[in-house]
Amino acid sequence: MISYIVRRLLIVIPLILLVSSLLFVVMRVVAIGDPATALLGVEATQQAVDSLIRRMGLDRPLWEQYCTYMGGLLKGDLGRSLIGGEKIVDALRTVLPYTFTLTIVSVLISLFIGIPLGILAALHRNRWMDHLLRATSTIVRCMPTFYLGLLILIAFAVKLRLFPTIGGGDPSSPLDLAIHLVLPALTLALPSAASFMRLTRSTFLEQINEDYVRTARAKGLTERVVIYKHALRNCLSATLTITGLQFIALIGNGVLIENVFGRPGLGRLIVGSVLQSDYTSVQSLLLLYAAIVILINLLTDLTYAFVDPRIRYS
Amino acid sequence: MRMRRTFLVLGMLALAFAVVGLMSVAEEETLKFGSDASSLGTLDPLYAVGHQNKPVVDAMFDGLVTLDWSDPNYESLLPELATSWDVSEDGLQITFTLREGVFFHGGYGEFTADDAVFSLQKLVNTDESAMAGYLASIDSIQAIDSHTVMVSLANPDPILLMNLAKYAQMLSKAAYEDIPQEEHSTRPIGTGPYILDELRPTESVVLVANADYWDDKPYFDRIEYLLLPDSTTRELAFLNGDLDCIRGVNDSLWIERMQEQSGVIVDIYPPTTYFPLIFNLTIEPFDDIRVRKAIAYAVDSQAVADYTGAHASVNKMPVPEIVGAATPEQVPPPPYYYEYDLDEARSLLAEAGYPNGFEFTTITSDRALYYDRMVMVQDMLKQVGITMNLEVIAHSIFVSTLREGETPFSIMGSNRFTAKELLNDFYHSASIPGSPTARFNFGFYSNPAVDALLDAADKLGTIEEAAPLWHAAERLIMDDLPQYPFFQAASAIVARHSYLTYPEMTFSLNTSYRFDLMGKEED
Repeated sequence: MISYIVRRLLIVIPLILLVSSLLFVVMRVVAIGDPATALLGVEATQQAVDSLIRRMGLDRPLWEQYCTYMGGLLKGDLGRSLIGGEKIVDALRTVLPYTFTLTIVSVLISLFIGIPLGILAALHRNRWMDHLLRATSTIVRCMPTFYLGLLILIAFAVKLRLFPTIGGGDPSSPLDLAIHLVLPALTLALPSAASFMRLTRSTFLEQINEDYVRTARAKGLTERVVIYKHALRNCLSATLTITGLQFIALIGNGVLIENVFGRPGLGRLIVGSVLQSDYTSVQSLLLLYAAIVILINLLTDLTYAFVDPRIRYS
Repeated sequence: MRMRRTFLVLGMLALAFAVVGLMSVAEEETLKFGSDASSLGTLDPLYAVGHQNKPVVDAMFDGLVTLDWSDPNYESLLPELATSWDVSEDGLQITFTLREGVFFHGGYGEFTADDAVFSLQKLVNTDESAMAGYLASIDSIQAIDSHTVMVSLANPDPILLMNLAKYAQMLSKAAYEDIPQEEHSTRPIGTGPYILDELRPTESVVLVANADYWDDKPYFDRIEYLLLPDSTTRELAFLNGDLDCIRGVNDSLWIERMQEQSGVIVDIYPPTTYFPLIFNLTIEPFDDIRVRKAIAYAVDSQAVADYTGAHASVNKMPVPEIVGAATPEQVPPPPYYYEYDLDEARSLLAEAGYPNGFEFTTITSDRALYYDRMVMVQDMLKQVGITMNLEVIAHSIFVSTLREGETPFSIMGSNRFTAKELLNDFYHSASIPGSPTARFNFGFYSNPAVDALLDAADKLGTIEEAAPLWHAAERLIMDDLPQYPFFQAASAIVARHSYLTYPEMTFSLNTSYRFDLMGKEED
């Protein structure tokens, strides 16, 4: 097991290097404009643009820019924004806590809503409760995230005035941060919960028909113990896979929610950088995103070993 | 025992009230503004040119002179860091007397002539500032003594003082040299009424009032400038009372909807943004004037202006009604004013060899103002057999692509104060892509007679003398039709709650707001 973990971790470094190189190439090859024109705007003369490109170091040969960037990465330096000059690490430090709390809370909410509802649907299979739950989950999953977000914003913030409309909250007040978290987390959690509900329902139905369940009932165990202690445990590994994937998806969906709720986050940072053709920021931020994905996948794989005794890594 | 407890509780309640009472007395006045930008870019006054960051920068810096905010124009400027100025007879020298007792933020000392000279030298240098083009007439800057500065010009420039007011912020030499280059964008040090408190480039900026400001303290102690690119969110937050003022959407439906809300005022400001249709004269068939005229006849500008809203109008002349523009009486129109006439369009196309029209592909920005209009033009051209295929790309890439000079047909929005700027930027051959001075002449229009008129006008000292030359240039341009004037629309649209007050022209320059002149009406 330990050797498995070590092997997985060792692969991470060349993987990160590969991804960062790919990102570098993509950024320069795909035409997304240049940061000098983005910064100076339509009004600038060609001379001003060329001059600023020189100042940004973008006129240096590509291989030299590549080496400077990769050299920095190997030292743990994510570089500076080409537009504002601020260190990307500093920008991330302010912004990542918001993204992580939103994502983690959303995943937790979706698990707490999705799994019980899935069991409920499975137990009442093909009756009205099941149909209602499945129909609702389809509608919620098909709705565009930002649309759902706006509906929730209008309902709870504007009409009912229960929550603030915009912002991430005052960082010095945990209560304020929590209040600003509710609506965005709900928006992200609902479609995710719908996915968990359907998954739980189908894996649960599989498990309920297995031999060991019949044996457990024959042994005289209560239905409650049969469901929770036995059947549900075996659904966990499938749920875990989806949890990991949902976590990654929610970080990605974050940008739409951050825009709708005016909330700070990684998504807005990435989008802002792309719109300004800020190569360094986009490269480093997407690299971070890739690193998160790799890490989540690793964690998901490792937790399988704890949850499912049949899986052993050697 | 019970008595003591009662007294304790009462005492604590009293304390609580006192604290709350004190807090409300010390409460700050905060202005919350919702911008439509998704990113601030830079806060360095040498590079902040857009409406997303210039207002923030202008709140933190002062210039030598400032516009008269009750009536901004190029002729009446008010003192700011210069208490008075003297223009020489020949218009080639301006001597500024600087204000004493002005201090920079951050403890960087008193503002002196050295700072003024340092700032202006940076501003006029194309390699160090984006403002150099506006100050091109400046030849040299000298400090006469600690509080006197003399600026020498290469040629008389009637709008130089206005451009100094709009674009030339005074930097602290000490701060600029002390702060590392890569931090200039995030650590602005000026003399202005507000100081930077907190900066999050893709979310918000917070400014606090400068306690040591040399002039009157502004009403608002704190400005929260929030970036909210989603227009629905911005609108909802504004209507909910979470924002005092927001940047609007240039759309007639939005404007009408907001005007119907009680307690909401929508302000629409000049200058108008001018949107010509630009033909690339190096690409067939746009090199044929008959084809250009045909397209001009096929496009129904009035319909586009109507769709845009009451703040839009048709443009018939190359220069809209701005300073130095010709009126229809001054430049008698050629036999064609390009009124909407599909038959004329079709017959011109046939004459040019395209009786069944033709097909081409071009690009458009994804910004609604550009995209919607191009789609309308696409439909109009279809009526005469011209198929225009549109590729939609992000705005910043759109601009870079236009500069490459290979776009056959495009629309570009721009606003200018005087005919001089507009004519030079769009019609002078020096503005053609590929040269260092390239501006908006994306169509490669080059007429030596026009160039000569514009160059001669640049040397004249007053608008009145230059205007006839500009009118003559306009006439030549109308004959050549390198661009079709199309339409114009007011550019700055802002919605505010009625309790928020500011001088009428506060947003008039589109790029600069005056947070320090804003206030609240007490109920």
